[in-house]
Amino acid sequence: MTGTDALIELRGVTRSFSTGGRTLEVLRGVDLTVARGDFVAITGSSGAGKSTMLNILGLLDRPTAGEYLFDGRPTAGLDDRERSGVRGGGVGFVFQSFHLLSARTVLENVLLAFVYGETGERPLPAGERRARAEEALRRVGLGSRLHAHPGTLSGGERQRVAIARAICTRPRLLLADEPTGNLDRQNSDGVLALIDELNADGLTVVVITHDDTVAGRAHRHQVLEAGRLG
Amino acid sequence: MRLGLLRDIGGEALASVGARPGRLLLGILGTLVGIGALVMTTGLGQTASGQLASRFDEVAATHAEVEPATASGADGTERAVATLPDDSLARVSGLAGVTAAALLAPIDLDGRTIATVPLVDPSRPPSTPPAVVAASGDLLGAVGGRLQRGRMFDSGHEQRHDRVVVLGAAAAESLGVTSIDARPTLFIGGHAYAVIGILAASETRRSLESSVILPLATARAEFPGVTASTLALGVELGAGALVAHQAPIALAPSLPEVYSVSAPGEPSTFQTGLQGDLDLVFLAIGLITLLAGALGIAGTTLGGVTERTGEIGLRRALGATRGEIAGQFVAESAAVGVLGGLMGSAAGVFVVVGVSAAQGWTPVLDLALAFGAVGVGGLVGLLAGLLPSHRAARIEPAEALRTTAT
Ligand SMILES: Nc1ncnc2c1ncn2[C@@H]1O[C@H](COP(=O)(O)OP(=O)(O)OP(=O)(O)O)[C@@H](O)[C@H]1O
Ligand SMILES: [Mg+2]
Repeated sequence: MTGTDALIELRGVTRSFSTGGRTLEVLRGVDLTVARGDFVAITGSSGAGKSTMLNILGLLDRPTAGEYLFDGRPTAGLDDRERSGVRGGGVGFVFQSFHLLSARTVLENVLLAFVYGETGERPLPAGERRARAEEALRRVGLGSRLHAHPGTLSGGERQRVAIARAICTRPRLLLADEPTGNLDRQNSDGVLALIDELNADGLTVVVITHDDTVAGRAHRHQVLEAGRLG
Repeated sequence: MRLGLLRDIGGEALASVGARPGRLLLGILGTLVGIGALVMTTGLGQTASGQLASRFDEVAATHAEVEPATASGADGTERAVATLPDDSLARVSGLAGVTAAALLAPIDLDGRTIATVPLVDPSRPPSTPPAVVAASGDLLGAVGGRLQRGRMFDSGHEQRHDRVVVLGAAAAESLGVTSIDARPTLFIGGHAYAVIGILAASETRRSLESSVILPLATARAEFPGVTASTLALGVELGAGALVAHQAPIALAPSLPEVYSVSAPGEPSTFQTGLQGDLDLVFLAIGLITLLAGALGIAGTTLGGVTERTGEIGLRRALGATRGEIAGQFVAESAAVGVLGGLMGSAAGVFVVVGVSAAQGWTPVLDLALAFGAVGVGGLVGLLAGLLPSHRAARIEPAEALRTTAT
């Protein structure tokens, strides 16, 4: 089933947490293959392990057992530098709670994505970074708010800044953990339309959501239940 | 790539430091005070010793001492190879550049007692008597002396072989002479001498301050075998070398090398010793404050790590390695240290210059010290940042993002 098309692949992935002597098995053998250009929505009840799975996909966490292949390459043997390189160069994250630095302007928040994760390539010159950051901000409709501070933006605008930060480095994978969870209907629709558009341009998207509208937009919809994907 | 990354992380560190002025101020404070105290201490120490040295230079440049050269005898003891002629004063007084001249001769008491009462109680334990020195000529001018009370004996006293003495201040105190108004009398070997003056200080011969000084002619009449050992000279500024060359020729035209000419001795070790102790105290205060400053930076940085857990998680998600996170926090605390060092160094220099101005001193301060202090501040900040940065690097990104989601 490992087509050359698969960008990411989970094989029998488990993840358990030990707290206070007790072991909590959150993922109990998850199999998932996401092809390049795919748009997958994951739903499941609260505490089902959706965020845990997404952290593993984003190399922010390691499976307890099982295999995770990114771009056909097993990730188990990668060290911190290599994993950080994949995150910085290949993955864009969007979180439910935006995670913007309040002391920085919109533009500076987006530019932060260029500080890390230039794996081996020539570093981008400052002018090029700025051009790409501005282009990403224009794309999310914030071309005129470059020097605003996040505190002065609406929730939807903040999430669009976060999306601009996630895509300005031109990653291959966009991981979004409830990107519309803090937004009203209108703002959710804007963010969703944006994700749709990015996917149409070839970006592979995995989105976690409680929202059926979001799930409906995806090519595929899978439910995480009892530690497994169905 | 590494260089660009270093610049990026440095920029991130500076931006982060600048974004929290309250924390920044707190972190800077200890380093500022510590570095300030160090710079101030060292600067004031340098200025004070510069002051001492220039005073000493001045004394040395305006005084000289002529003594008979010595040679080792067959039994290994040092013996003078010549004596100072009786008319030494007349011989050198005409020399260009000589402003004052005085002959000095140590007196061997040979068991005689010194007391302010005529009869000494033999049952009392003998106290060590002060040294007795005979002098002739312009003693005050030749040794940089200053009277506390009364007057110096003069040529009249000498010609009449008057039994008069001038007491060094320390000798007067140990003999119990506090005033000369009541015409106190000093008994040397049973003979009564009138105390006519008290010598406050002598710049080139501190030993005079604890001596009993009497006229040379009087001493020659009273004690056998009195020999002048030193010809002290006051010299015009800049004439030292000339006088050093000409004085021996004036004393012994055919054999000038039997005399040696030297600058007066080192400045008092007591004073420099005290200076050293004070420096040590201030140095200790500076180091302790600096340590407190380091702990302050460590504390605020550690607080910053906790406060910024979410930011750390985000940076890791954006591709930061553990090392890059650690590097940023070390750079931040080093920057705080440098700022503290910069401000402390400036404050220290300011104090040194201010105190010097108030005292009329010339401020002496090593520039290397002022700049070195900034480096020390940076180093302190860097060291203080090691533990917090280690903590920051160990934060698990998934955990950081999960716990800071609002
Ligand atoms: N680091 C951890 N230590 C201990 N338990 C953890 C840890 N991370 C997650 N868990 C537990 O694992 C379970 C799954 O958590 P996860 O955040 O993946 O759920 P989720 O599906 O994203 O839920 P939600 O929809 O509420 O976001 C929860 O019970 C949670 O308490
Ligand atoms: Mg979740």
